[in-house]
Amino acid sequence: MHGGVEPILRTEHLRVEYPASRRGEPPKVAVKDLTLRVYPGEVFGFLGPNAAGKTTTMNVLLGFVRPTSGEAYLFGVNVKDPIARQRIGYLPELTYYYRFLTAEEILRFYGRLFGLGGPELDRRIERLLKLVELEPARNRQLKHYSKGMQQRVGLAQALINDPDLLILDEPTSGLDPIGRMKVREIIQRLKNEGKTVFFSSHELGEVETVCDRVAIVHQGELKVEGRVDELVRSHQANLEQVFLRIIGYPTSLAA
Amino acid sequence: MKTWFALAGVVVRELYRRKDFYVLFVLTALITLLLASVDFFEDVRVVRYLREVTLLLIWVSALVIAVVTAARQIPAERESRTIFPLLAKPVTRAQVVVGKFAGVWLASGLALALFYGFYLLVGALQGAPGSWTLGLQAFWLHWMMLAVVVSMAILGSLIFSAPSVNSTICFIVVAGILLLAGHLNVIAAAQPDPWGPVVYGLYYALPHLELFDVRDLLIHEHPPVAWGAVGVATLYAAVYAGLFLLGAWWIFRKKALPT
Amino acid sequence: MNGRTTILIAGALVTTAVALAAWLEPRSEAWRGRRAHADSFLLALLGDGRRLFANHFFVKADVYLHSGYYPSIFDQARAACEHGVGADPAARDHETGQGHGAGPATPARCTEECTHDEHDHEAHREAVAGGFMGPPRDWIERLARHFKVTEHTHLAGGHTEAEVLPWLRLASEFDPHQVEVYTTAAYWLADRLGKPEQAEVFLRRGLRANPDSEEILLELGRLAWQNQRDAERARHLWQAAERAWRLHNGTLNETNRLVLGRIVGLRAQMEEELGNYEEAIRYWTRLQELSPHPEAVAQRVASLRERLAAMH
Repeated sequence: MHGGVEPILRTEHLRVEYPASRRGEPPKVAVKDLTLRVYPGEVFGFLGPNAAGKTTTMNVLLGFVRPTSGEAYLFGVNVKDPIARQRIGYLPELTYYYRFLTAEEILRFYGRLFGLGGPELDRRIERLLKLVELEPARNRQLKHYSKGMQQRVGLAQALINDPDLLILDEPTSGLDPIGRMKVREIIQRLKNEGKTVFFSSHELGEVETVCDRVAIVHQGELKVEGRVDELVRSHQANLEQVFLRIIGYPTSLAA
Repeated sequence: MKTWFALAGVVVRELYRRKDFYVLFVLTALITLLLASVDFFEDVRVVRYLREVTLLLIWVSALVIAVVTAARQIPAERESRTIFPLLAKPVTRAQVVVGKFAGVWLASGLALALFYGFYLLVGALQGAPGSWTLGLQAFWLHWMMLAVVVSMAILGSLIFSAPSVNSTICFIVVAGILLLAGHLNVIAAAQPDPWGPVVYGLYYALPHLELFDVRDLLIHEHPPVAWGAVGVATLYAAVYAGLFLLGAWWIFRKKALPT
Repeated sequence: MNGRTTILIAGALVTTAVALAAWLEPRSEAWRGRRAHADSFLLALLGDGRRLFANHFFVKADVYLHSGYYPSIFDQARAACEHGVGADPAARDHETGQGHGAGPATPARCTEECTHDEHDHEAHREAVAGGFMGPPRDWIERLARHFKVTEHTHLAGGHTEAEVLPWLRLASEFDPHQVEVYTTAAYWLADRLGKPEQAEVFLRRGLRANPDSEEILLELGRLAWQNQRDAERARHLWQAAERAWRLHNGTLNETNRLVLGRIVGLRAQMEEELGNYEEAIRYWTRLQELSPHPEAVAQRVASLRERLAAMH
């Protein structure tokens, strides 16, 4: 435990296998024996190259995929129970929402799924639309939105229930520098409010700036987990070089 | 309760923002008005054939709206990946199934109300409105039938890979049931073993959608149906809809999402 | 590829297509058959399949006459098994109800031969448990009876009979050669709806499509006499009907006897009403050979001879 505090997100020897595409072949192991802890109030970076098992792990946490073995918990509740997701917000990497709905309607819909309603929901919708700067476009259907606008809607819906844990999958993917800055500001603000943020990203520069702790996975296995400053200090390199060294990429070429 | 109601609301919005419903309604209205202007032997008091054609158009249109909308729901969520932000909320898969069903059924009911309203209006304008009680019963029974059809299509959407395949199969099954199900007991009696018991089994297992078709009573101005029978038919529809939705949930809870 | 080249290629393709069509069209008549010469849209679209629609609409008219109470093909098949091939469950129902006699209970049967009493089902409703339906076989069927038409009635009075007309009109559009459609519609128009002019117009339409139809000529003659009291015209039409009958029928048999019998019978009746007893006796005597009730006809002949004798 982390100074006696219970982790807000916990996996225990998590293993996820997918059936082989061809008969006779062994199943594909996406996640191998992953044990992870994320504590309240920290910004946790979940790093790894493509096909490392990051998205699969997130899918298990969100209940989309059942683990082959092992367990995962959110707020001490097994992720198989939908109530585990009552206090989380999720922003997927690729933002897909109902194109025939407006931003306001989407937020109202997702808010209702959390049991929100009435003036409280109205107030939150107003605040979030202002936060993501979508007030002028609130009554336009999403099919008329740009990618950046859709990403902002995604961020707003992830915050509609004022979550204690935010799970972000590549939150700055596809955003311009201003958009990325705004996302970083939001993450920082959430951290200041005592929220926990768990996100995956390939932007290691950003991760180094905002994250308290990181975990690096490669080929389904957890390679390292620790504080950013400690990793950087112990490897005498920036986070990108640490990352490349951990996954076994020749660092002389990376320099 | 709020969850499936919220899900249903999204489906209703989708239906009235798509063009299908308006196209079908306008087509029905146009054909009806065109036929109403036709003169048969200079006798303007002929109304029953118009009722028959209008009701047939209503049945076809309502079926198309219900089946196509229902068949599309869960596959579209999976394909467009909107299922992920949805299931990332404290929503169970059972609630998704029930919510989708409720949305399609309510939306179909709204469309149906408009169609039947048009039908009664045309009847009133022709000076032959018929029995309003029977009209209301016809609407109610039709809506109950759609509950069975919608739940069937939702179950089908979890079995068949493509919405088009599911829709086609649903149309064929529904048409087959409407035309033949009521006569399967007669057919069964004429079959040699072992087919007789098989057909009889099918006769009892199939949902008898033809029970909900009171067009002949409406067209030919017969008295309304006994309310007790309407109640039993409603219960019958509820049981079958429940069974299909249970099957849908059973399949959906195990189904892997396209990650 | 620039605009001019595109236009030139498109023009060349259109020219080639038109040339091919002109070359193919006369050669395609060999495989398109009658539809190649079709002068009606329905014939071109549906071919001989339009007759199925015409039959369906004709039956539909009968369904409407019975206000939706009608046996399905399964009920008819069951009746055939139980009562022999050709039996009609609706006819059985009519027999047990008030009876039209054997034979299909179609509007065609509802001719002058059927009296008003035989049709007055409103006054005599009932009788058979379930009619052609029989008692329900199971709880599903018992429940289904609440949502179906289970009462045998006929449209009668208040011009409700007009409801059959659209279907007869449609049937004639789909198959102009189905003579029964014209004669049936003419009966309803002239005898039940008081529109003899409309009946005549429709019959003449049928005659254009079926120039030597003895049934249509017969009905036109009947209208000429019964509605317009034009005996001369009626005679001409019935003579034409009889000529047409002889053209189509080599010998007398059970099937074609009825039509000739009606021609002769109507002529006999008209001559009797006009007081031309000799002519009337001649035609009644001919009818004796054709009628299923020769004794009744013989009595009539005898009675006319007495009257003729009394006149001299």
